[in-house]
Amino acid sequence: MKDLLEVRNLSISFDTRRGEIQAVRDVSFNLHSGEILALVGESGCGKSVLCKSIMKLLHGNSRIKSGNIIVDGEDITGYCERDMQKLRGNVFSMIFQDPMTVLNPTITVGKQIGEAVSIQTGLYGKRRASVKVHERVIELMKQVKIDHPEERYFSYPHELSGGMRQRIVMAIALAGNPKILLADEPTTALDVTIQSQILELLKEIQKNNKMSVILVSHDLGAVASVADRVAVMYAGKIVEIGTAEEVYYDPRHPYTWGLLRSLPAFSKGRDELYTIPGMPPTLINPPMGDAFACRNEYALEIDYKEMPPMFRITDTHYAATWLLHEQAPKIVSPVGGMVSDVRNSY
Amino acid sequence: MSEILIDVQNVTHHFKLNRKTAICAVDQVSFQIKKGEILGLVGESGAGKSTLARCIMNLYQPTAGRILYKGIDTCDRRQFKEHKKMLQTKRQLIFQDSTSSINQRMKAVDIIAEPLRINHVHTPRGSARAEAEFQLHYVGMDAGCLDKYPPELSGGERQRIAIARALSMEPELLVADEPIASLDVSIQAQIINLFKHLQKEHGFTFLFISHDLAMVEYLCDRVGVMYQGRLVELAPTRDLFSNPQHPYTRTLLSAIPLPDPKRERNRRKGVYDAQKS
Amino acid sequence: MMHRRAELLIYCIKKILSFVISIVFLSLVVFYISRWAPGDPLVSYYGDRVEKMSPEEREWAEERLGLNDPVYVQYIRWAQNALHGSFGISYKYKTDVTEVIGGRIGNTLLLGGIGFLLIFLLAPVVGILCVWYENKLPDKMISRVGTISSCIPEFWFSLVLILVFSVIFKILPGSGAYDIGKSNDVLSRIRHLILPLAVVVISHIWYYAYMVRNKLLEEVRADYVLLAKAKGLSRSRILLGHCLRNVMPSYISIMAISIPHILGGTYIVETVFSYPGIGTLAYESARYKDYNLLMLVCILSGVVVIFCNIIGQAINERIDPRIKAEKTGEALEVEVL
Repeated sequence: MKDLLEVRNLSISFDTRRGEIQAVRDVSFNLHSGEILALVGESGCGKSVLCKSIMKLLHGNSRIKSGNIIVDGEDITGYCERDMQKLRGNVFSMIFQDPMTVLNPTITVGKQIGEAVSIQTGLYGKRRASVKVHERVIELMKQVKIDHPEERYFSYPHELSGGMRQRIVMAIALAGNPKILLADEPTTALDVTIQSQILELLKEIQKNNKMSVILVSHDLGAVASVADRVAVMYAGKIVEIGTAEEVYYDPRHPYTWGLLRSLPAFSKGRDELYTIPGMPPTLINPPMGDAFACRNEYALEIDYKEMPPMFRITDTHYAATWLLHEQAPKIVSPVGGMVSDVRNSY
Repeated sequence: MSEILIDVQNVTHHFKLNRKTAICAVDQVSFQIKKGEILGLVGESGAGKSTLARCIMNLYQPTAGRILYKGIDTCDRRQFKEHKKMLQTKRQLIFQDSTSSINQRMKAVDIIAEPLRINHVHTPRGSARAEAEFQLHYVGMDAGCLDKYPPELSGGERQRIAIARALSMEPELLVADEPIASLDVSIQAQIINLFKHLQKEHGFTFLFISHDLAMVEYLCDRVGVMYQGRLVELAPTRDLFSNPQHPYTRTLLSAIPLPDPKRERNRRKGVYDAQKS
Repeated sequence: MMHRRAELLIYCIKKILSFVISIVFLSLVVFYISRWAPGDPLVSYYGDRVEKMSPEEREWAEERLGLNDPVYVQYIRWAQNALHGSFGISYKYKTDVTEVIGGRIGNTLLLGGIGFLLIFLLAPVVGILCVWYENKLPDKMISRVGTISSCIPEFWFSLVLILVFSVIFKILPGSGAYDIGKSNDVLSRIRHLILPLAVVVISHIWYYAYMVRNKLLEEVRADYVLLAKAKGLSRSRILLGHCLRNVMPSYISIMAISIPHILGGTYIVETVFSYPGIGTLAYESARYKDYNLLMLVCILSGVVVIFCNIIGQAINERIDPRIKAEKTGEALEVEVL
C-alpha cells in the first residue's frame, strides 16, 4: 500500500494570552491509500486541530512549530494560502461536526454544492456552465443518497434534517473527487440510527471513490464498524496506533483501556460504569513525563520523568507506554477480546 | 417504590405552523413514572421527546390530555397557580447543552445559588455560598470551582454545575433532556454514574431522555420508545432490550454501535419505515 | 395562492393603518408643542411693524390669522383644511406653504439623496477593507479616523471646511446652492454641493461602516466559512459571496431606517451652509413661529421617517430566509405558564 499522506513529527501551537498551548505534540502517522483511519480521543486532545492543520484551516494564532505534512510525496508544510486553495477540495476535503452551522443558512443547498462543483471544474463564474454544474450537483446528491434531489436542490439548510444536512456537506466535500477525506466528528451531532447510516454511507463512498478517510471521533464504539486502523490520541500525542483488530482486541496503552472500559458495553451487570479518574492535563505546560501518568493506575515511576517512545508491538501496532518496556512489570489488559455477551444482531 | 409521581394521560401537543396547518409533535402519549425510578425515553430527534419533557415541566401547555404530578393537574391553570411554588421547586430540568443553558458570565456559585435566591429559600446550611459548595460536593466537584466562570470549566464540569443548580432546590423529579449527548465518552460515564448514585442513595426520580441506547440500557429501570410523536413501546429495560416488540425498537437496537470491529463489519443494520410496516 | 394573497393584503392594511395613526399623532404633538413654545407668530407675518401695533390692531391681526381660538379648534380647522389639500399660507413668505416647500425640496433631495447613496455604497467598501486587513495597519487607521470623524459635530466640521476651502483657499463656495443667477448651471450646482456633501458623508459613514465591519467579522468566524474554505474557495469569494451576502439583508434594512437620520444630518448642514433646502426652512419656521410651514415640514419629515421604518422592517422580513423560518417558528413558542 502506498502512503497517501504522511505526517512527520508535527507540532502545532496556539499563542494565547495565557501562554502557548501545545495542541499537537510531535505526532507522526501515515495514511495509506484506500483506508479509513480513525482518530480517537477526548475533546481537547488535538485530534480536530490535527485534521484542520492538514488542510491549513486553523486560525491566525496557530502555527506549525515543527514537522512536515507530506501529501502524495509532496511536502506541503510551507505552502501559502494560494497553493492550498488549489489542493483543497480535490486533493483533500473535509466534513464537519455540526452540519447546521457549516452550511450557509441563506443559500440553497443546491447552490452551495454547485459552488464547490464549479470551483473544482474550473467553471466558476462562466456562462453556459450552469447546466453541467446542475447535472453534477444532482449526481452528487444521488451519490450521498438524498431522495428527490431535484426538489431538495432548492431547500435551505434549515429546512432539512440533521442527517440530510450532513449528506449535503458530504456532497460538497465529494465535488472535487478528493483523494483524502477528513471527517471531523461527522456523526457526533446526530441520532444513533442516523449515525450508523452516515457511517455506512461514508464507508460505501470511500470504497466506490477509492478515497482515504481520516475519521475523527471521541467514541471508540461508534467507529468500530468502519475503521481499518485506529489511532488513539491523548494530550496532543498519538499514544497507540494499530489496525482496528489490534486496538480493539489487544489494546496496550492504559488510556485505550480506559476509553474502552468506559463504554457501557463493557460494564454490563456492573454497579458503576468505569470512568478514567482525573482530568486531561492543560496543554499550556504539559507534564514532562507521560501526560497520562497521573490518571494511570498502572503508572510506573519512569512515567513521571520521561516521555515514553513508541514501542513496536507488531509491524502495524505501536503504543507509547513504558509498560511495554522489557523491564516493566507485565500487566494483563483489563479489557480487550470480543465483547463478551453481545446481544444478537437484528 | 410504588407511589406514582407523574401520571401522563393522553397528552397531545400540536405546534401551529399557521392558521390551518399544525404539526403533531406529541400524539396521545400516556405513561406513569413511579417515585424513585429512572424512566428512559428514547427516539430520534423530532420524535417529540423534548416536547413531551417540556409539557411535563409546564414549559408548553399540551393541546390535549392531562399531566398529574402527585395528583395535581399541572395543566390546569387554577391548580397550577395554587401549587405553583411546590411545582416549580420540586421539578427541575437539565438541558442538553450546558454551554448555552447556563449564563457564561456568571460564576459557578451564582449559577447554583440563583434558584435559591429567586425562590427565597433559606437553606439549613446558612449562606447561599455554603449551599452551593455543598451541592458541588454532591455532584463530585470541589469548592475550588465555586468562583470559576463556565468557559474555564470542561464540558463535564459545566454539566455537573447544571445538575447542581437543579439539585439546589432539592427536587423530587429531575427531567434530563439529552444531558450527555455533547460530552466525551468518559465524561458521559461520570454523569451516568452520578445519576445512578443520586437515584440509589437519595431516591431521586428521573425522566432521562437520550438517543444513546447503550447508556439508557445501563441506567434506566424502564424505557419508553418514541417514534413520530407516539410512544410505540414501553417496557422494563431488560425486557425491552432482550425482547423488543415494535419493529422500530428493533431498528434502534440494531443501530447501537459495539466496540467490536469484526462483528460490526458484518452486522446488518435495519431501517424502519413507518409507511412500509 | 389565494391564501397567501389575502395574508399579504392584511399585512399591507395593517402597515398603512399604523402609518396613518402615527402621522395623526405626530401632527397633534407638533401642533400643540409649537403653540406652547414662546415667541410671537405675528412677527414673522408683519415683521417689525408688530412692535408699533395697538392692542386692537393685534387682536384683529390675530383673528385674521385664526390665532385667538383655543388650540384644539385651531387644530381641527387645520386638519380639515389639510384633508382638503390646503395647508395654509406661510406667514413669512405669504404664499401657500406647499409652494414654499416645493421650491426647496429639490435641493434637499439632491443633497440628502446623493449623500445617502454615497454612504450606502461606500460604507460596505470601508467595512470590507477593515475586515480584509483585520487588526492590521489599514484596519486600525480606518477605525481611528472613522471614530474621530463620527465624533466631530457636524456644524463645527462644516465651519472648519468653509474656513479652509472657501475663506483661506477660496476654491469652493461656502454657501448657497448655486451662484446667483446661474440656477440651471450644473457645474455651479456641483461646486456648491461638494462641501455640504463631504460633511454629510464623512460624519455619517463610519457609523454604518463600523456596523458592516462588526457584522462581517462575526460572519467570518462562523463555521460555514470553514466549509467554504475546505471547498477551495478563495478568501475574496468567501468574503464577498458568503459573508457579505449574509450581512446585506440586515444592512439594507438598517440603511432604510437610517434615511431619516441622514436627512436630519443634512438639515443641520443646510443651515450652516445656508443651503436653500428643507432644513433651513425648518429652522426658520421654528424660529419665527411660521406655524403652517412648520407643520408641513414636520409632517413631511415624519412621513419619511415612518415610511422608511416600515420599508426597513418589510425588507428585513422578506429577504432573509432565516427570519421567515423564525416567523413560522414563532408559533412554536407556545404560551409559557
